[in-house]
Amino acid sequence: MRQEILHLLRWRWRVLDRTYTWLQPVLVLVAILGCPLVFFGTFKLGEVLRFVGPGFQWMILSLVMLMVQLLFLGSSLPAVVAALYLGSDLELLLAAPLRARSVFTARLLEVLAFPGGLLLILILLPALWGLGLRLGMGLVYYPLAILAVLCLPLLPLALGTLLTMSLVRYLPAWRVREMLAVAGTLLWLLFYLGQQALFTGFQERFLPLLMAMFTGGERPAFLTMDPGPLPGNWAAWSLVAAGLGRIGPACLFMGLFALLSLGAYGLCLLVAEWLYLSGWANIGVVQRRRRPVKTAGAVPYRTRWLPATFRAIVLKDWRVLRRDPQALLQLAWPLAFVLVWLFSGQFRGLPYSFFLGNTIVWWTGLGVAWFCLMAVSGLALAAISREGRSFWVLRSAPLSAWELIVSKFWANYLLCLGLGLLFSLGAAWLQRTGLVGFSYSLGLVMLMGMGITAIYLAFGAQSPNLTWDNPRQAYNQGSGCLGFIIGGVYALSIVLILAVPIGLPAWEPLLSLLRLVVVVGLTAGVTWKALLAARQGVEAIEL
Amino acid sequence: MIEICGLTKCYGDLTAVKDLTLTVNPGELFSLLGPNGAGKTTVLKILAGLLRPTAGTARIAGHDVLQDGQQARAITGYLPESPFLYEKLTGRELLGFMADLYRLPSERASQRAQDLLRLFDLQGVADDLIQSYSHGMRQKVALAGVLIHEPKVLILDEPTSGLDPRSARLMKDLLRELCQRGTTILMSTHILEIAERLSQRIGIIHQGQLIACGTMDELRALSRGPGSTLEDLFLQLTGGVEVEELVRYLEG
Repeated sequence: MRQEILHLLRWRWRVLDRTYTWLQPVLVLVAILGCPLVFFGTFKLGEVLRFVGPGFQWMILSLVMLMVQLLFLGSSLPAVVAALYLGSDLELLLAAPLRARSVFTARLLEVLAFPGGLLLILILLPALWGLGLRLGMGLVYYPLAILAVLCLPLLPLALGTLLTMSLVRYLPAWRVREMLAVAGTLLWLLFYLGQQALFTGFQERFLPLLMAMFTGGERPAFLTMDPGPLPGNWAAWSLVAAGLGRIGPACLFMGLFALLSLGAYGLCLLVAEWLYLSGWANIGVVQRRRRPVKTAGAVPYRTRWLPATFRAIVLKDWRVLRRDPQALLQLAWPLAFVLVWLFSGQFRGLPYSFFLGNTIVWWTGLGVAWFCLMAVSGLALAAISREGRSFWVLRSAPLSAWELIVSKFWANYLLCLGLGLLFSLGAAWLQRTGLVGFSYSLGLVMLMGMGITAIYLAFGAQSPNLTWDNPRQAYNQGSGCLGFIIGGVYALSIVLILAVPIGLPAWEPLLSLLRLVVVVGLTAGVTWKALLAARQGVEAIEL
Repeated sequence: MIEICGLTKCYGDLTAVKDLTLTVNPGELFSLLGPNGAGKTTVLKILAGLLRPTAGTARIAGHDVLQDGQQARAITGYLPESPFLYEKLTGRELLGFMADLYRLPSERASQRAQDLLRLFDLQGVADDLIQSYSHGMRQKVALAGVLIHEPKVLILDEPTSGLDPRSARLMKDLLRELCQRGTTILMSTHILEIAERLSQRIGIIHQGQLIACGTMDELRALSRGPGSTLEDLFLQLTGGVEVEELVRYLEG
């Protein structure tokens, strides 16, 4: 069985290595640069921890263990869905003359090791060793740290696997993947918003509390503290005990932790295999579920005045976007940023600037435009790629490349304008900038949104990925980088033209008009050239 | 209706189609046969506007597919072998989308969509997302989309692939009916029985070249004898010797 597992893992590594050509260089880079960096970083941090009692050290280590386990639990869910349900090769392997247990073990080891487990060894282990060295921990600490790092992801992975299989029992795998993507993003958003809220009152409330913890003398005696029911705490407790030279309790708690983790993982393997092979949660169960959707008929009446091909593409794109949570999530981050930014009210009370006029109005408008451009750039970049393997429908239709590009442009630009309208209204209300502020924000969004949408669309059309399986693969990183650079230059040019002082106050009204003419001309030119480039890109696509 | 003249398509060093010349008459059902990798799909893709030829021309109803592609595609319906569809649209929405792409008037589009959904027995799932459809249902909804604008020319790549016997029968009857109404059909297939029973003419393509073309009787005349089947001829022309050797090897 061991040979089979090793063979499957080797084969999988080969596939991963060929699919993600950057994987090996990144791992080598992390090993060469990341490990020493983390080691010396935590070595320095150890200087601070040296002056606090073992109670506080235990608290920090417990927190680290808990965070790592939560991260593994969160990341294991989509990884298990991909490995067991969306990989499409599990059935093939199960039908091969291999033990089913070998296949499941290899598949779950792969989820454990790539890339989470490897990164854990490359980052957490040097961190623990660096800390141990600085704090002068005993020799037993170091092997126990290795054991802790190796066992840490086992329990969350076991729980994640069983949780995923339970979800797949009732929902299709693709739906589980979408839900997890949404849940993951929402968690990060909550974390971000919480962090922002925390840091708003950090100096007044939390800093004194933290200082008291550092300077308030020795914590209650460490060994009288109850490690509690969280297994991660046992590992942390064991490490601090090992550092204090209390080898017996250290080995006992680490042993308990390792035993529980390995036991849970082993049990999970058996249960997962049984659940899958018994048909309780396998691919056959999930494929036949259907989801009825309320539709407005083949062609909604209210849109019949629009040109047919334009209506077809715009409506189709919006419907697909609305129903694809993973694509829709791109709009969540800018929304969160703009909420935090607006509610923090950081531009209230800025002085009136001679060159920029009302500074609050200017910065608010620029901020709103920035968030809208952030949202639309990703959508425009993937506008062609999102068609995926269905692109044959558009390509075989009597539709010119220009019609396609213009429709795609409007589908994204109108979204940008919708967001701009929403954000501008919110900004004008929260920042109390009134109608002038609203008009200014919306004007900037209309202007810069046009250029940025066209630029990203053009780069996305130059080298689209039409063969993706996961919607996330629809984004071409190289094109995104180029779009960011060219789009950045364009946006910066607009800002500079509008904001740079000329030094002729008497001529300012005329200069303002001139600035406006120049930015409108520049945007029109950039948009036109970008759309032409996008058309060329679409014409060059062969399927 | 379809005129292909000296068509060549190269992918780098590989020549997928080499100097192919072929004509399909109006109202004719023409089957293109050939082993895997022979170049059938490439020919069909060029006609559908998905690929550009390296050399030669292809015309549909007099419209050059390269120079006058939009006009050619307006009267053509193309169904690929694996019709990937928009997973997040419902079957009904897909038909509406395709009707708009072919600029069908709204009322006509709704009527056609309804008729086709009924014809293909898809009414019960018309408002379900396509991602919940089985392979056969996808094939049927894709064909419904292709037929929504009543094309004069149909280009079908393995149209019966993955269909259950009932759906396959429906497809064969439909193709026969369409032909009788004057639709020109060019299809590729691996199922020789379908080609033999449905087609007026058959072309056999091998290594990018058309090696035989004609009616069943003409093809029989080409083969070893009057009683030989299309399968015999196909194997004889496209490497049947290797197959016979393989059979001998397997028989020990």
